[in-house]
Amino acid sequence: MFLLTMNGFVQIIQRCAVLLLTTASVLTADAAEKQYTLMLPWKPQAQFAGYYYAAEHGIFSRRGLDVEVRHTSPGNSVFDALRKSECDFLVAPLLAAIEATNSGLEPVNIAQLSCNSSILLVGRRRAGIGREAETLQRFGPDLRCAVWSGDSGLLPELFLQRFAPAATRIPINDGIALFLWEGAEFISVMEYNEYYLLLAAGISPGELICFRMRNFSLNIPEDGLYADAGTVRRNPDVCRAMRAAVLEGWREALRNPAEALRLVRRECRKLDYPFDPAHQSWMLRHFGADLELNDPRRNGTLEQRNYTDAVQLLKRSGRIRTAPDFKTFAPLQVEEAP
Amino acid sequence: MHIRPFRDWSLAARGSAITVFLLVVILGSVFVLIHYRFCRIADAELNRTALMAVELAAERINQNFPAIMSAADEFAVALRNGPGCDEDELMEFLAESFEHLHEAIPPLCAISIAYDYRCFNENTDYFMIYVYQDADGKLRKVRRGGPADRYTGFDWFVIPKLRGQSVWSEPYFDRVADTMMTTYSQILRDRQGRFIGIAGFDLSLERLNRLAERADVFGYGQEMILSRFGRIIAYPENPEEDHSDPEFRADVMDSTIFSYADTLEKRLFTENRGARLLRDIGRAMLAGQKGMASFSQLSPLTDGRERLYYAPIPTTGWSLAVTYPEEQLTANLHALEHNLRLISLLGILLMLLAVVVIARRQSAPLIRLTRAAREIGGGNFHVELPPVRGQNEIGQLTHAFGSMQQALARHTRELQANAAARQKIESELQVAREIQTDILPRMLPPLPETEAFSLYASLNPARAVGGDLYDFFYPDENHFCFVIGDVSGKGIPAALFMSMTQTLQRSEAERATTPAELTARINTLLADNNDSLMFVTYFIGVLDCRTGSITFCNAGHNPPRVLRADGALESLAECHGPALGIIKDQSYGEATVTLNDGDMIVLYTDGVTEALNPEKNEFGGAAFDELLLHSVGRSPSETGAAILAAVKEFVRGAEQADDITLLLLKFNRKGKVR
Repeated sequence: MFLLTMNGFVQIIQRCAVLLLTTASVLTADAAEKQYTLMLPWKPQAQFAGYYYAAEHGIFSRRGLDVEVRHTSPGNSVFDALRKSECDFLVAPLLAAIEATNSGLEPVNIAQLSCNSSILLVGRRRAGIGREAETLQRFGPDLRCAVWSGDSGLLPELFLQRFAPAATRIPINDGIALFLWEGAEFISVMEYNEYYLLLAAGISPGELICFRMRNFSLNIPEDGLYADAGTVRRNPDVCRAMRAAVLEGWREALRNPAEALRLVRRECRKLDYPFDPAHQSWMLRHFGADLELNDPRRNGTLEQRNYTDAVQLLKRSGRIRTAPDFKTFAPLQVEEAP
Repeated sequence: MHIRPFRDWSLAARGSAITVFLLVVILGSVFVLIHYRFCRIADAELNRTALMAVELAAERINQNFPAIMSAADEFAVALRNGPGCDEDELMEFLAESFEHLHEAIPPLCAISIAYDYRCFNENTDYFMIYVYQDADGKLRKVRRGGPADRYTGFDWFVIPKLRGQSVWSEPYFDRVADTMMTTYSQILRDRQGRFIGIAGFDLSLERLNRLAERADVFGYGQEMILSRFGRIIAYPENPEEDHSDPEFRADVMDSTIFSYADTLEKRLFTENRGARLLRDIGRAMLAGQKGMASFSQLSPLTDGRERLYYAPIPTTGWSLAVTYPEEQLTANLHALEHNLRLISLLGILLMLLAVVVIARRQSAPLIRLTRAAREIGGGNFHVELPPVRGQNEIGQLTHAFGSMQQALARHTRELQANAAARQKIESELQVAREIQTDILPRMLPPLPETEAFSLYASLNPARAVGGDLYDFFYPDENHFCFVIGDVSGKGIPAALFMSMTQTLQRSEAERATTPAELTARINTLLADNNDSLMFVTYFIGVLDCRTGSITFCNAGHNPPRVLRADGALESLAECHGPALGIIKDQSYGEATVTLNDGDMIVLYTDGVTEALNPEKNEFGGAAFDELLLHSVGRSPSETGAAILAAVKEFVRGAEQADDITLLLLKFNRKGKVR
């Protein structure tokens, strides 16, 4: 027999009501009030102008998204942030994203923004080095090459393995100082970024010799928009809206470069980073050109061919053993592929 | 407004104008030259001062670095010999060293020791400690070097390691210290000399910035330190910075001089000379040179021309520069230039005024003299001349003018007297002329009683009275005597001599039987008491009116012509003796020529054949003969008039030099004798 006192009944009713209200509020918040974090790598610069633009000019909100754009703290990668659930979306190079799949993460490509590799290996023009990459190998270990120690260093490393296997590698974190100090004959640079810094240090283009990775079958596109696989599964529409908003943000930013640079500057100032107008202007122009957004059909699709090439390169270099299939890595794009 | 031609200007105005013109040209040129030279020198001095200030400031900044370098060197030696590999001991050593050095070198903010991979010990991959003073002045000790802290890839570590030498880093902004810093990376070696790591000495650049400010010797410049690779380290913040135009704004550490040039170019949307120069200057600065450049649109703060002075900071390979707005820099110079121009202009104007006043003062007596001259010209010789002040040119001129005035008055009086005298002489000469004319026989009708010949005679004296003579008369009823003569000289003496000859001829004609005798008698009488040695050429002919025979005697006279009725022309060239009055008791011969009906004898004086035209050519005997040859059949008066007309036409108004006398006689056999 269940004998309930009046007090006990009231308590049960109260608890049920609290439970119902709490569940309803949580569900509502998840559906409508959820703020998403877009984590950008590195430091503020024109490479991310499109995201700043989308946030500043309500492009995210117009698509029902409340997005906070953040940069990783120094020493952390965007995948660290993903691992710690500090972000919902992130921007990363394709190679890094694939490599992250081997470290327990499930990054999924929502939009591929960059279309090509912007990586160059740049050296001072000097006797014995011609325009042909084959001339590099004659220097053996005397050829000191400063190459990024992280994911971005993969392509230059593969280039060196092919054309100057004996060259001395000097791992660097970033910058061009080692090259300027003549501590290295060659250095890996991004065309939209460090290459200009060389020019800004008083070196004229005529003094430099450049090997573009894209010209040596090492054309792996870079920045893409990623989210955790769980996020994509739960909120595919949010991810699609995110992709559309980012592409629109970039298109608008490239259409209004002055405003885009203003936003870049504001971000730089916010985080105490220098803002060189000429440098950032150069970056916006060159990075923007690589997005190929002049083509109205561009909808941020990752080419399967590019994915396959990237996976092969990573496997060949021993950086990964396995990789998700293309459908798993870029599910939204597979479903939208013609 | 009508402007009078320059030549009509008054002497004062012309003198003033010329003087002012010359003054303006010469003084203007001198001023311009001085101005140009002065400005060049002042400008060079300005540049020298500004550059020297920059050099001094650069040297002051430079002096900060060697202290750190030697301290770092000592530190490396002490570390090698000191603490060993105990972490706490090492930290203690580092803290002590920092405190000691910070006291000596206040801008030193932190010291770090970073070991290379496993160089601290076998079990530690990366080991790095550093100490610094926080904002509260408290010493902080930090250990770094976890598995993910791969500092060995950073520039401050890898660059000295690879170069094998300690280096000054590019300046950077340190967020912890909230200031701009540079790090001296001292290489650490073990006892065997192997590279084991880097000791970093962080130096605040704030104090250096203050030192850099000293380079701004004029107080309104903008200092700029350029790092080894062109980064602009110190650049004053613009308080009025416009954040709405971020693309074209640059802040400290943001740009290099080359990227700034690009920004500048982008701002102007065209390749710009200032930007190009800026790149050249950047290269010169990075090459450790010193110098100066002037160009426009360099700074975002100003739009005008600017000057940039730069000098190297050799220890770090940096360069110090100061830019000044040229307008401000040269403001004093321009003010001075302006004043110079103003003073020059004022000087010229004052001179102009002085010249005009002086010229007017100087020319005032001249003007008064001019007025007096006009008065004198009008006949008032007693007009008062301006008073003479001093013995200068004007005084002398007035004196001379006064003398001239007196002389003119005297001369006018004399002229008046002379005119009266001359008038008297003129009237007397007129009387003499009339008398002389009366002496000559009347002309036409010469001899109405006879038809045996026709006659024409004419005498045109060159002056009031002449020295020529002619005469004709009948010695008896069948003979006709005619005479022509020419006295040497002219005027009154010749006229008197002529009158005397005429008178003698008339008086002696009755006593003489032949022309030769008559001639000899007249000669003898004339030669007597002829102290003035005058003489007269003389031709006398006696015509037998019945036969046409002429007996004649020629005493030095021009040979008469005989124009025959058939057109033949003969010259009676015989001369029977010298002119009369020369040789006393001279006997003369005579000759005969016969005229036929219609023949004409033409007598003349040398006033005819020697008449001169303006070119001083003589009429000549040939023209005379030619004229006669065209006069065949004409009467003596027609022929005489033709001769006189021809001579008049020939001389064309030239002054008559000699008396012109003609006597023409045409024989008419059929005519009845008187």
